[in-house]
Amino acid sequence: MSNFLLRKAEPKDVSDILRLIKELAKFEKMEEQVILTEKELLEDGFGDHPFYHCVVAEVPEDKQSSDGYTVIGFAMYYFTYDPWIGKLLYLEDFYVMKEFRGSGIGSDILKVLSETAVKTRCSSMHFIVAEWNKPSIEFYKRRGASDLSDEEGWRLYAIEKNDLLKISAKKR
Amino acid sequence: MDRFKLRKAEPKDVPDILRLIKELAKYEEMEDQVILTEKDLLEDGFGDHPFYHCVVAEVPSEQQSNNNGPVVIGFAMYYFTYDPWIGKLLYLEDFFVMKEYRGFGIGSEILKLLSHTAVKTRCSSMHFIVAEGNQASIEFYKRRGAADLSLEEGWRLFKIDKSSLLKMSSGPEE
Repeated sequence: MSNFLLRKAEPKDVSDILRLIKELAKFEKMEEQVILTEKELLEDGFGDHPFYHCVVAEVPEDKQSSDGYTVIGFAMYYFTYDPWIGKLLYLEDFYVMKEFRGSGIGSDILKVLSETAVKTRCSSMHFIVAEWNKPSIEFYKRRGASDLSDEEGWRLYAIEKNDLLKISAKKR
Repeated sequence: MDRFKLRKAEPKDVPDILRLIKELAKYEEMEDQVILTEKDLLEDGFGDHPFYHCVVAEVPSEQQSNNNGPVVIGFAMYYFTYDPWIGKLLYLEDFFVMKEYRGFGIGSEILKLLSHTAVKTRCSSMHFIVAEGNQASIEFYKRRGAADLSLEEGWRLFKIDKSSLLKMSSGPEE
């Protein structure tokens, strides 16, 4: 299928972006964990200081999904900073609706992201993958990805809000 | 030692930030991997669109270990990331206090300031990576409520390097 286009997301895409975020979360059986709203996505992505960027994949009206959508894939990314080498492009979410897979849309999205990374003088693209997600791991490895958790032993940690509040309120 | 000050980094701090980045890299035996320059740090941190933020820890001149010693003795580098389920996060990228100034609570105060920044900017969480061999750091963070998401959720960090990015961006259509 060559009948699709990739473009930068615009404010009007926010409801489609949220829909696709929820669809991907549903695939991971975590749909109720998505508490983000369209309002937040709008403020955070299209305000003075965007906290994320999105690329969307769109098909013509006559090729719309079985449930009537023309925005059928997306990638969410932002810029991070490595103190040894500088700017990096961080790929946060990446999803193409099931019925549109196998047509090279995912590959093209990754190509656009790679171009963006090179153009903005990023040294590398980083992202996390769940260790059980074999198809994704293979998809990325075919494109030269290496597992830094494996090679360098990095583990991702989180301090959640309730603990942040505890820390910020503690007396010395 | 009871007198230290934490403040937002300014353009003048860039040489000290680079020095501390290299000191931390040296501690990890990776000093030659630091190719970032003061010019990069200045443009990237203090231009129209900052790609990182820094907090520095400073001691008054008379408390240095020698008269010509540096005044900036610790730093933390962070930036904002985005979780598609919950929104803004604060990501702690680098965190280092010079060896001779440890044990005085400077690290704890830096983390307290970062926690406060996270809450104030309406971040849901602070994320960071720790090398699995670094028991001391793991304990420091676990004491403050940190959870190992690699363990709990199986996340592994991947990278695609520039050479592969170039291949992908110029390669043939699949």
